Amino acid sequence: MSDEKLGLWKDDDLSTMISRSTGNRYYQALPEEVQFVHSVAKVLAMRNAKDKTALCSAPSLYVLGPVPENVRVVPKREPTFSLGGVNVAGKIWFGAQAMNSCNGFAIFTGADSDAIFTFVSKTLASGSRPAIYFDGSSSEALLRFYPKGVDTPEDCEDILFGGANFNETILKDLLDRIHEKSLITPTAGSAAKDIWQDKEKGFPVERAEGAIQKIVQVGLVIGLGNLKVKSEETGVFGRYDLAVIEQDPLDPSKNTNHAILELKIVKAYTNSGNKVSDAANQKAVQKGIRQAFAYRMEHGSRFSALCCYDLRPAPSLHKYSTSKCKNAVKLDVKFWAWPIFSTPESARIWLEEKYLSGNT
Amino acid sequence: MNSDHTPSLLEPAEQSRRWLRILSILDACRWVGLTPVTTGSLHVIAYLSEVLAPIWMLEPLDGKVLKQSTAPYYPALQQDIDRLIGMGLVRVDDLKIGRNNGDIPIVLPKISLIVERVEPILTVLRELPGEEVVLDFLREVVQAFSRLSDEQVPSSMSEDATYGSPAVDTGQVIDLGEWLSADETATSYTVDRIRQLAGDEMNPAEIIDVYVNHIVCRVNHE
Repeated sequence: MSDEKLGLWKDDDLSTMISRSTGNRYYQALPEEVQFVHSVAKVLAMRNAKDKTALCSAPSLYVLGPVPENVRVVPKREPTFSLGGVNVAGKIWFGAQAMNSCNGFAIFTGADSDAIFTFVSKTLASGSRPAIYFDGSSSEALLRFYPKGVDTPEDCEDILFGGANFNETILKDLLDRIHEKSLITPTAGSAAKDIWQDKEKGFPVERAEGAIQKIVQVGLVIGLGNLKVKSEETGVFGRYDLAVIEQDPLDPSKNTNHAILELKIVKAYTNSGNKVSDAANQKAVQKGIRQAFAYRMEHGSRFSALCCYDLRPAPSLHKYSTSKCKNAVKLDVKFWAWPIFSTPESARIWLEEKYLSGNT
Repeated sequence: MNSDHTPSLLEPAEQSRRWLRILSILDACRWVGLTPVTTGSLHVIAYLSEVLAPIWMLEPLDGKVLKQSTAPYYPALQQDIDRLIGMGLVRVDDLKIGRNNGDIPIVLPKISLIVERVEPILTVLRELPGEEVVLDFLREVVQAFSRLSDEQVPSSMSEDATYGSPAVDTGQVIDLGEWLSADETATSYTVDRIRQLAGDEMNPAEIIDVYVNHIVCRVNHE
């Protein structure tokens, strides 16, 4: 329908324009390097779908940041980079977090990762910038994120490549890693301290679930590469916490709803130190199972899970598997739980008990 | 947004504010990998930062632009660039001679920041209240703008909802918030429509990206 108020675009089909958008700015609020990981993974997924042979013909490296100055070789800018139309193989790409436009330096033929990293570090003086390395030469393609740059290669994280193979096992493994690396104690990651109001007394902050959700989302965005981890969309049955969605790399108007994640915390105290009863915790878990089920049905997701984070001084939920949770079995909801400790000392005691009981 | 905006056509935006905007845009261009950038591109980015400002809840700096046959052009911006070059904050990396529509020879410089001189200024700017928001906005605009190739830039704004609108003839002033509210441009109405169609789910950065991408699609006749 024509609308004169829209000026030159009065007859344009804006609805189609939105549905076909391949942009990635929905992560605007997340840290730049997290946005960068998703943008690169999305481009690689498109390249993989369009021309896998070309993509895997040589390794490629992606660096978040400006093109280095005072380098003899002038890189070529590719303004259609994020559309997946550019052969990325055999080049070192510099771009901003959206990776809409990138500048590529050719990698000399036959260079391995060591030679490429040295070139980035020494010649391009960009070894401390967040980087992603892709090598598709073997059957299991390698997509690896270096948050502190290639100068610190020991600090790295593998990213899922090829979202079509995404399943419950991959998600659970990733959530386990996020728990271990960023949640289990206040010192596990830079944001884990935000969960606790008073660590010594074990009082969580008022919005502990929100703080955990933020950490989990960032971990999932990095680990799941081109898959979109959307938070809090309101629907008929309420608002889900997290959803894992995949945009078709060849037809952006098509989306696959892979998973719904409902997050719940189980705690012994409120932020002000009042005791929380077992009945209240049980109620929260049962509610979470119903939510995970309802949101999965509403959004047509392949599977759903209730992720419980047990903040009690003597956590026990992680001992329960899905099969022991009747409602979860009936509604086909995965039930996963992890303990979170307010001090490293309480985590050490837990680890020791686990070891002595033979459950390591 | 100041809806009770008193017209101040004869008073250009405060000079230091305009200088800081140029330095901020050039810094964003460096981050995105566009430098050295043509001054023509700088005028287009300045225009986009005016017309898209309401998305970020910001007021346009100038609030108006003279519609030319090809691309937006701000005489004050051009003078400011010359001043910043003279001050040793911006350098000319390349200089070509081209011709305008009237076949008159014109100088086409490519410029970039002298980073070591500008960084202290930008560091202070980032710490000032409210300025981080402006810098974030300009970075989003430049990221979206980078979807255009160097060849597409000069004529691209003729495909913009507001600049290309047949309601304003060449040689007339396009009001981006000088007399009318900045929310009354074709761009602002289009942005409202995008928000409605997306079910209010799009954040400001997404809207800017989708909007500029549509300009690119129109330029490409997609």
